[in-house]
Amino acid sequence: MNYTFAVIALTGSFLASSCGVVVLSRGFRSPKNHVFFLASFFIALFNLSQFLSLITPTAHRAEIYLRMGYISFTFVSVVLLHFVYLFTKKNSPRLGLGFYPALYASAFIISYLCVRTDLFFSGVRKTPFGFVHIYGGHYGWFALFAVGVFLSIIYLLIDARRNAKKVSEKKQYAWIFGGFLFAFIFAFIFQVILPALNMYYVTMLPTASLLLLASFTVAITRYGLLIVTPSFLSQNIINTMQGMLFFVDQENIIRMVNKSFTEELGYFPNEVIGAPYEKLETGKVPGETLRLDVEIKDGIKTSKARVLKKDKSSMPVNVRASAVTDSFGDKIGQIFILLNLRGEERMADEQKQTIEELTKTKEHMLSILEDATEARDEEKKRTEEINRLYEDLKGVDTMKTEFLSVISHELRTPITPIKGFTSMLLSNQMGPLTEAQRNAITVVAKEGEHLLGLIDSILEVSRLERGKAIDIVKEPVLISSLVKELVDVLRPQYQERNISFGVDIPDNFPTILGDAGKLRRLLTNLVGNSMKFTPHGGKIQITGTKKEGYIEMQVIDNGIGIAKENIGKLFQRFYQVDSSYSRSAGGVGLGLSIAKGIVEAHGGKIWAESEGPGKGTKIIFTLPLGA
Amino acid sequence: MAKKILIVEDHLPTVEMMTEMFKMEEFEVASASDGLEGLKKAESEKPDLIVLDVMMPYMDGIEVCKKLKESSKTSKIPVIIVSVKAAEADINTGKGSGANDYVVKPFDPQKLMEAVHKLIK
Repeated sequence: MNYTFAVIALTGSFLASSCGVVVLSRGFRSPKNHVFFLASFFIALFNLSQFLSLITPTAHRAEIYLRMGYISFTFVSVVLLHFVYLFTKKNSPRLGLGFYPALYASAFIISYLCVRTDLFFSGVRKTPFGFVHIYGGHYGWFALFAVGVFLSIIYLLIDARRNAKKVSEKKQYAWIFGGFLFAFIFAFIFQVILPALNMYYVTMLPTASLLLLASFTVAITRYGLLIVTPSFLSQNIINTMQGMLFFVDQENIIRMVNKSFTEELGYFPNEVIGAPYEKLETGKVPGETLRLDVEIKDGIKTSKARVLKKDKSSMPVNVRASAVTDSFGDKIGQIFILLNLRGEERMADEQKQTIEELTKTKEHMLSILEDATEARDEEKKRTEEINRLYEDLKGVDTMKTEFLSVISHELRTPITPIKGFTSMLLSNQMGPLTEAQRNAITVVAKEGEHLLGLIDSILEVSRLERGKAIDIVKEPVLISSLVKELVDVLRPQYQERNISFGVDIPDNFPTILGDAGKLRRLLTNLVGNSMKFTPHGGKIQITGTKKEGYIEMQVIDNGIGIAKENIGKLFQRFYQVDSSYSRSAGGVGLGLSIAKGIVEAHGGKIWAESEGPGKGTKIIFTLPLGA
Repeated sequence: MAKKILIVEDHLPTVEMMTEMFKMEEFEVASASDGLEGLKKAESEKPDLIVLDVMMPYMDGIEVCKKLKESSKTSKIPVIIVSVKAAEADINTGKGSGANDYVVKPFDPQKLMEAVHKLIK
C-alpha cells in the first residue's frame, strides 16, 4: 500500500494545528485569532480524517472517517469565510445581521446531509492509496456550496485588497489571495481535471487546504500588524519616549536602557548594562543622588537629582521611579525615568534675568514718569502765570479804555464854558465887540470846537475798542442834503486851499435809514482826510450811485495817493501815512477808523483804492437803504 | 415875577457861564455845587426849574433827580439834565430818572435856552 497521501495528510494535520497554535499565541484575545484557530482546527481535523480513512483496513471505518472529513470540510469553508470576513472587515462591505446564523445553519444542514444521506457522498472504494469516497448523485450541490463559499472569500479578498492602503495590508492580502488561488488551482486540477482524464487518485483537498493555511499563517505572522501585540508596541514606546528610561534589578545593576538614555547621557547600552547604577551618580551633593528605593506599595516616587553624563558633566533631572514585579507579585527591580531639567534651569535663569531687566525698566519708567509729572506741574504753573498775566493785561486794557472814556468826559467839561462864553460873546449878547475882539474870540471858539472834535474821536475809539458798536439812531436821512450841508460848511476850508469840489449825486437819490449826526461825521472825516492829503489846486469829488438794495458813495481826490502796502492799514486806529506830514496837517489818525466804525454800524462796507503814490485816492463806502 | 433857575453843578466855570446866560435872559439864578446841597436848595429856594449835572461828588445827578421827583415838595419842579455823558444809554438813564429833558455838554447856549423855554416862560 502506498502511504504517500496518508503521510501527507498526517503532516498536514500537524501543520494545521501548529498554524492555529502559532496564530493564537500571537494574540489570545483577538476574535480573528480565535476564528483562525477554529479554521485551522477544522483543517487539521479534515487532514486527520483523510489520513485515518487512508490507513484504515475496513471500508466501514473508512466511510466513517471520510464522512467526518466531509463535515470538517464544510466547516472549514464556512469558518474560513468567517475568518476572511473578520480579517478584511474594515475594508469590506458590511454583511447583514442574519449572515452568520445563515452561514453556520447551512453548514450544519449540509454536514447533516453529508453524514446521513448519500446525496453528496455515497460510499467508499478501495484504491492502492487507501479508501477514497464515491460521489453521490447530488454532489453537484455540495460542490456548488463549496465553490460559492470560496468565491465569496475571493471576492472579499479582492475587494479588501483594492481598498487596502497600507503596504503591509496589501502584502497580507496578496499572500492570502495567492494562497487561495494556488489552493484553488491545486484543488481544481486534482478534483476536476484529473478525474475528467480518469486520473483520479486521492482527494488533494487536504493538501490544498494546507497550502491555504500556510499562506494565511505567513500573511498573519509576517505582516500581521492587524494583530498588534502589546510587546511590539511597548518597544516602540520605550524607544520613542523623551525620558531617559533604565531598569535596575534587585542588585542595583542596570539591565536595560532606552534610546533617549543613550542620546541624552551619552552612554551606549553596552557601557552601562551590567554596571551598577552608582555609575550614574555625580557624587557631589548628597541631596542630588539618584538613589531612590521604591517599594511596590509606594507606587511612583519622584525626586530631583543630578546625573553624571558620559562626558563627566552633570545634568539636573527630575526622577520618577517605580517597582517592577513578576507575575507572582514579587519585586524584581526598579524602573527609572529621568527628565532633563537643564532646560528648566535655563528658563529659570532667563526668567530671573528678565525680571531684573523688567525691574530696571520699571524704575527707569518711573523716573521718566516723575520727570514728566514735574514737567507737567511746571507747565501748569506757567500756564497759571500766563493766565494771571493775561488777566492783568485785560485789566490794564480795561483800565485804559475806561481811562479814555473818563478822560474824554473830563475834557469835555472845560470845553463847556469855552463853548458857552465864546458863543455868547460872538452873538453880541455880552455887548458889542470890536473887530479885533471878534476875530480873537472866533479863533478861541474854533479851537474849542477842534478840541471837542479830538475828544469825541478819542471817545468813539474807546467805545469801538470796548467792543461797543457806534450808537446809531436810525431815521430817514437824505444823503444829498447832508452832502450839500457839508459842502457849505467846508467851503471856507477848501476855498482857502484852492481845491475844487465836485458833487455828483443824482436828484432822485434814495433816502436811507441812518443816524444823521454820525453820517455827517462820516462824510466830514472822509472829506477832511482827502483835503489833508490833497495839495493846493487839487480836486475832490463826491459821487453817489444807487445799487440794488444799497447806495455806493465815493470820495475821490487827486492827492498823494496810497502805496499798495499801506492800503490795508488805512482804517486802523492811529494809522498815519507819514507822521511828520500828518502832524503838520493835524489830527491823530482816528478819522478813518471812526468812519469805518460808522459805516459798519450801518451795515455797510468801506474800502480804499489807489493807483499808487501821487496818483490820488478813492474811498468807497456802501450803505444799505434801510434795515 | 422873575423865574428862578437852580443850577446844580460842581464845575464852577460852567456855573459862571450858565449864570451869565440865564441872567441875560432875565432869570433869577441860584446854584449848588453838589447833589446834597442841590436837594436842600431845591426845597429852600423853591426854583421854577432845575438844571442838573450828572457827574458830581457825594450824589450823582441821576440819584438827585430821582429824589427830587420822589419828594412832594420838589416833584413838580421841571428838571433839565445837562451832562458830558452823551451815549444813548446815558440819555435813557437820565430821562428814566424823571428828568424832563437832557442836554449834552458842551452845548450851544441857544440849545439850552430853547430847552428851558420849552419848560418855563
